[in-house]
Amino acid sequence: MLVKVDGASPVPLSEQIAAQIRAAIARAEVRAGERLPPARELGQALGVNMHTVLRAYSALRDEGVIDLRRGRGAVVRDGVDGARLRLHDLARRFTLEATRQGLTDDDIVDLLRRTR
Amino acid sequence: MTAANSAIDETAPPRARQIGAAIAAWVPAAALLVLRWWWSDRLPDQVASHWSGLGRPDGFSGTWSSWWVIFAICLAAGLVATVALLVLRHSPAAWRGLAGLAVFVASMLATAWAIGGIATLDGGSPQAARLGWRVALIAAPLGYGAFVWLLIGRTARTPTTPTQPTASMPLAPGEQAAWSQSLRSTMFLWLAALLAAGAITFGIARQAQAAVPLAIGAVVVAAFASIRCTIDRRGLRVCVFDRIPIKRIRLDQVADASAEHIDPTRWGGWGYRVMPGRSALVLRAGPGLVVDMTDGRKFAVTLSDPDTPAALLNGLRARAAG
Repeated sequence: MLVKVDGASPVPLSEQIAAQIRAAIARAEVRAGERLPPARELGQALGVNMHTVLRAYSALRDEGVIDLRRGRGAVVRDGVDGARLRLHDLARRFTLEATRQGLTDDDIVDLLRRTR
Repeated sequence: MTAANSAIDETAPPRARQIGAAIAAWVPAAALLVLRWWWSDRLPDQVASHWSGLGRPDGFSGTWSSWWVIFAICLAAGLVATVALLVLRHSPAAWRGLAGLAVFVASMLATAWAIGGIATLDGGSPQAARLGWRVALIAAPLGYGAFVWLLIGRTARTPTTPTQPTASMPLAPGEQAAWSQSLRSTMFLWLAALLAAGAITFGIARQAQAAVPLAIGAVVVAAFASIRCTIDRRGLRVCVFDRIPIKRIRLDQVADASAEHIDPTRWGGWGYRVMPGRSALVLRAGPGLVVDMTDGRKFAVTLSDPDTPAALLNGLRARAAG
């Protein structure tokens, strides 16, 4: 699993980390049941705060991608669907770009409905 | 880089010499058979087996019980050298070491038994067996060992040159990249489970001297069943149990990283292997990352997709070097 972060990017570091891990799971580089590197380790590797990594891990847990438990670390959940994850990733990038262009939530939904 | 030319940095002895050395490993067992046939009705039930000086002996063994033990060891030595020849022929250093050791141990033991027999025969009884000049016979296995050593030759090492430039991942100045993979080995996991089962069995039977080494073995093997390899701005690390580093290579120690096919028989077997000039963590046959270090040593680790980590390591090193 390759995680790249760019301090010059406007995207928050924790979101960059979460996106890279999501993509790695979607590409099946990391499989169900596999353990992600400990947050402290990954933080030191990337030169970012451990809590930044933990924020990324929490976001992935909230999406149902990983299990995050004290003592066991972060483990990719069984039944995580790579194709579904890719779709989520596309949707996130789409809404991010749409919001940047000034579209409201209703505009985004309208746009999606019209492009069907 | 292909599998055929990647890992050979030693020259193998010619095939005829290899076979000659494997046959030489059976000579001590054959010599014991000849001695048994020759001395079968001349040796008493006991032979002298230990001396503290050149005079009378202070230790005795059953003639044919000690013969059987030493004969079995000599047979095992012949077998070890032959199997090593068949299995490790691509790993000359490992083969030479194993075959040489087998020949040396077998010829030493066979000669020791023969000295006891000769001294007992000459003295007329085990108690009257004087060591005397016969101690010089121990030079025979040393000479034989030297002969076999010359036969299998010395390990010559030729430097390998990369056959093609390895990819390097471009990194922006403000960019940080970390690569991480956890390596699972089902083979090691089963082995650990087997050792743990043995430890528990002996533990229930209150055989601590057997249970404790088995339990330690189970923990060590379990550690190798779950390994994490990471590459980042600090270099390469291999950790057991997710946090205990067993291997570290700093970025400034890296000369080049490449993705190669790892053949366990060329890297000295499975597990954590240390050989002259190189070390490797081999969990299976297949793709792996090979790091050439600036001091000429090599390190290899088996990984499922070594292209990315190899390119990242080269990219990080190139950026660190400025």
